[in-house]
Amino acid sequence: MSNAINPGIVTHFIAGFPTYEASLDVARGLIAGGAFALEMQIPFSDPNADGPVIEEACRQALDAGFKVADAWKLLEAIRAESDIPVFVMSYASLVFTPGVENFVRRAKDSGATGLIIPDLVPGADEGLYAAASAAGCPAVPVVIPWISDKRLDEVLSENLDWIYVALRSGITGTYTELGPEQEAFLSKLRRRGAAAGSGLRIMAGFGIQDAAQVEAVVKMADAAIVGSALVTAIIAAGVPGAGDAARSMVEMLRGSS
Amino acid sequence: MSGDTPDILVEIAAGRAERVRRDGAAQGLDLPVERVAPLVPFAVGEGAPRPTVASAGSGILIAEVKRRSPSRGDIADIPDPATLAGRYRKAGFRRVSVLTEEARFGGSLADLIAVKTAHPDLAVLRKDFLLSVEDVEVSWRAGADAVLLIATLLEAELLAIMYGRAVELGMDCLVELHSREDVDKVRSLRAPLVGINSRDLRRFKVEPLLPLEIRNLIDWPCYVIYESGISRADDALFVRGSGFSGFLVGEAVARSPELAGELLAAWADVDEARRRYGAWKRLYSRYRDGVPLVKICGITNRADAELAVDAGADLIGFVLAESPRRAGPGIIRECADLPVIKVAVVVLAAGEALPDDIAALLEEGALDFIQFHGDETADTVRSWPSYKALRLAHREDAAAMDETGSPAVLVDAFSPDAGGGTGKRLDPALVSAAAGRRRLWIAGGLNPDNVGAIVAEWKPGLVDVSSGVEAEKGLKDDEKLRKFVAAAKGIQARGARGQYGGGKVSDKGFFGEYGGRYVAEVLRRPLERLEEEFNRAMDDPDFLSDLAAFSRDYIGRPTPLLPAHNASAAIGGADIYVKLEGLANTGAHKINNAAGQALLAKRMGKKRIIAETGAGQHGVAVAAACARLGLECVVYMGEEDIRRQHPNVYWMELFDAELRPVSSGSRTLKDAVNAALRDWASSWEDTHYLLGSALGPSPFPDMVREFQSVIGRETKEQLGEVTPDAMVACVGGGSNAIGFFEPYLEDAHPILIGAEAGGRGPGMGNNAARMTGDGKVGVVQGYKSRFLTDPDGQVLSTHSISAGLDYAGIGPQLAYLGETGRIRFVSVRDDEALDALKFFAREEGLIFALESAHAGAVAIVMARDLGPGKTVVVNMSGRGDKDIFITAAAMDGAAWRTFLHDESIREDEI
Repeated sequence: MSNAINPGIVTHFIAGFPTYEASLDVARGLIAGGAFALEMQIPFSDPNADGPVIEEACRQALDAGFKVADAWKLLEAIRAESDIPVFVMSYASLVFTPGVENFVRRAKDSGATGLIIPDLVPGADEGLYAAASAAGCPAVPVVIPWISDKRLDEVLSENLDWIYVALRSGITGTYTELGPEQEAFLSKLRRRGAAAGSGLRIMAGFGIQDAAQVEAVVKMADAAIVGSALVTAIIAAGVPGAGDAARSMVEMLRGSS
Repeated sequence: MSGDTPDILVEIAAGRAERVRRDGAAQGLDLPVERVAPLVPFAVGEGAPRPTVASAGSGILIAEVKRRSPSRGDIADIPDPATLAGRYRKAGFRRVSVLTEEARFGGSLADLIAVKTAHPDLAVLRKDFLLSVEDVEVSWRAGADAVLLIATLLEAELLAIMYGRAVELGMDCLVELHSREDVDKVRSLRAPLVGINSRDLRRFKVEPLLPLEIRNLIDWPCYVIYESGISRADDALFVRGSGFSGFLVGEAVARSPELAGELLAAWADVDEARRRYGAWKRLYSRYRDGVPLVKICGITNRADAELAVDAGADLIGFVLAESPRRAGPGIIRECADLPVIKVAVVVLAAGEALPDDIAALLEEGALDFIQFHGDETADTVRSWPSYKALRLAHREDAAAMDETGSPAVLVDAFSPDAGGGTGKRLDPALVSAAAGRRRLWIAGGLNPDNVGAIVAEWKPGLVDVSSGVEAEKGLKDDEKLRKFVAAAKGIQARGARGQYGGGKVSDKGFFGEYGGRYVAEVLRRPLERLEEEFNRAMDDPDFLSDLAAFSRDYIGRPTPLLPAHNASAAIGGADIYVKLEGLANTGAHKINNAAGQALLAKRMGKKRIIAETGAGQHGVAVAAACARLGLECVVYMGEEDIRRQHPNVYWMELFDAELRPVSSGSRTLKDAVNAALRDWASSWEDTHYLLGSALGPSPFPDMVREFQSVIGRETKEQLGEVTPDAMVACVGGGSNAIGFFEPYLEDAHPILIGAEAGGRGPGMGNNAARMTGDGKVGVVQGYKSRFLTDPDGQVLSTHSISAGLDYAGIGPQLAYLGETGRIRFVSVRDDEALDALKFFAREEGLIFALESAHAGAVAIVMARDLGPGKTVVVNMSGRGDKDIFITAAAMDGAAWRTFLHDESIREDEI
């Protein structure tokens, strides 16, 4: 992977699932399969912006004794092997409890590229956006197509590298087709980013399961996010096959298999 | 041992540890393996007589055999400890302490054996610096019936093991506390018998107020013994009047055994004790650790008195002496109803009697204290509820502080030509001399700008201000006064009355730092709309009239307020009233909120309602409201809760609600909340999420409180002329509590108490004690509050016998009010709740829901502690029919299982 940023797939996986070692294999498989970036989810006990598939996977990881410190270890291990962008995704409780600045510093030190915390939004973020930006590991806001213009202005006034568009109202894991509303919103966002000259990049997702959807999304955005579909494939493969399953899933999504 | 452990204690304990290494724990004695002496119940163990505040004359009174002490040297030559114990016994003591430490106190286990052998029927406490389980076992073998455990000396874990071993052997433990750290250490043990030593171990001086300060930090029900500092009958009156359960006296009775009888006689004179020293209990119920009490002196009019109360002052003072701020009995009577401690500043000559008109003000309750500011003798000071103020000119003057006859001394700046306060700066040399003698109460020269620094430097117990907060002579300045109180207490200044600050409504969704709206962007708009619509509805007479009609016709409001005479009589304490909220249709308070929100949803044009439920009470209420209002209803319920609360599943389905089992996470309430939030994120356009408690993202905490406040408003009206002294409610998420307390949140009275689930006891996963246990600040499920989480922030699983209290978070407003001190929290274990359930069933024919029984348990304790003439109101938030599968199994498991078995066979046959 060169350090030039190419359009591609942001591949989601859960740290510690199905096991710590297997999740490292998954990350390796995603990278080998040609992922543009990784979205590493740190399991939380109450992930209410995620669907049942991801929630169950998180529960299994926690039941097996997974700690946040293990996620940092995992990220460091990935970073030792690759300079692929890694976005760390989790929930407010895990960020707030150790102290927002401590969490941000730990993520940055372990090699994170950005932070996706859906329940800490600009204006109600406990200082996350400022701390993350100062540390050089900016937070990535999650927005929806029908966000009001006023609210979008508020969000975009933060210091951002990336913005995450949830194309479908609701939670992760259900099939999405790009309708006119979504396309119009993505166009608007691109114009806004271009107008501001900020180099704002867009990742978009929720419900992407096949190469056709990826193709449709990357026409309008810098990257397509694939989440639940990967987790489902990894569950089906089990521990020994997790890495290979991740790799072939990414290849399939890129239309190269 | 912590780094703060006073040197003297460390030194004594280290010396003892060395001797144990050399001679063994038995001091070289050949003790039998099994004790010979009979075990006499000491105070709280099985079979011990239960002292109550109400029954005059009783108390846990302990006289000590003590030969010498490090502070006082030789105390008494005691050739035969059994003879001395015999004298105590003859005077009427049933409990004797024997000091067995050898090096510094000259005692021994042999003394204890001699006492117990000669008086096998006395309950004997071994007082020593015990350091191991073996020490506990040796004490038992030597014949002790109780042991002293000094929390300061022992790591929490060791303390718990020693405590457990003592209880196992049938002994009581008197657990001695010296500090907040000790209270925190002992909290998880919930020790029923604790002692607070009035000897400040750092200075080795007696500080009479120390036990009152530390007692106020204890938040579990227990008997509190006042240790040390008793040297005359007045001291026994002080200990009794200020609300302790007993005392331990050593030096004074060892020196003068004839004093033993006088102390017991004084203790029995409960009326005199309350008359002279009851005000100390009232004053120190306001005390918070490390925060000085604030007295606003020189009050001349009602408006200034109200201002002081509103700003958060603890005491107000009226000057009844020559002064530009002189007040008279008229204004004092005018202020009699204000919830604040009232003090009259009086200047008398030596030997002059207190004028009758002032004594009358004390008698009728318009005054709490006299502040003697002249040349009064110690005898005069002792004969009234009072404290002494002293002017210091020289360091040497501070010595007089020990001879005033008063537990506290207010130190005032010196001025040769003025009586009363002077408004000059205190000299640091004088302050330090005074602080070396007593807990520092200071006056003179304080103002809003310097009080913060003075508090930080000297850590006074009380600060007194008069001219420093005036606009002109005799008139207080609103801004200065508020600023002074805030600076003294280290809190944000309270706004004017009615504004945010009383904690009654949120400030943009926040209660202090708690609350807020921590939700994904997708839920932002639905919550904003809900807030707008809710505010509009509450201003709409049509909506309010629809809600009132629903409440009257369907819920059956008002629910009754029952005077529980039998319960009060059985306890021998305060009058208990029970708000029978469980008589609301569907069996609990939940319907108030369900009805309000369902009507609101209908008004907003929503067709569909979703809800979470834990025990099923909220689910049943929502399903019923939806059935009545023709709304589609989906209820999310964890699979584990479905298994535990099956009957409610049938009721919901009977109301035609769709029940969706939740199989994720821990499969309980919190997972049902997650499932409902997920549903709402994609369905909110036609769906309302009817959240069941006063928590979650704003505006739910405000909205649920408003719909539940009907409980408190009705109660207040039903009480009529009766002024409650304490109100108690159980707290899961806290919707019944916040609704019940709502009309009183901005007042200083009554005492408001929230009972949370102590479950099986302390330890991770055993309880749901967010405020009294291991809860910490977190952001979970859309709001900031106190949660039970692990060090990473993962939400822990909880336990309570009552499903409704079995939740890791607490409503943000309650968390805030707990922090400000307006609401006190206590935890109640499963077994204590069951006992309360049985008590109210037996005495009053009531079946409390298990949740509400937690509040019932606290009401019993409060009724006992407050005593006759006071009023405790408890909210029975639900009735207990729903709990039959749990209560029946807990009370008569075998018969109940047989019944269930037979019933299942009968069903098979049909």
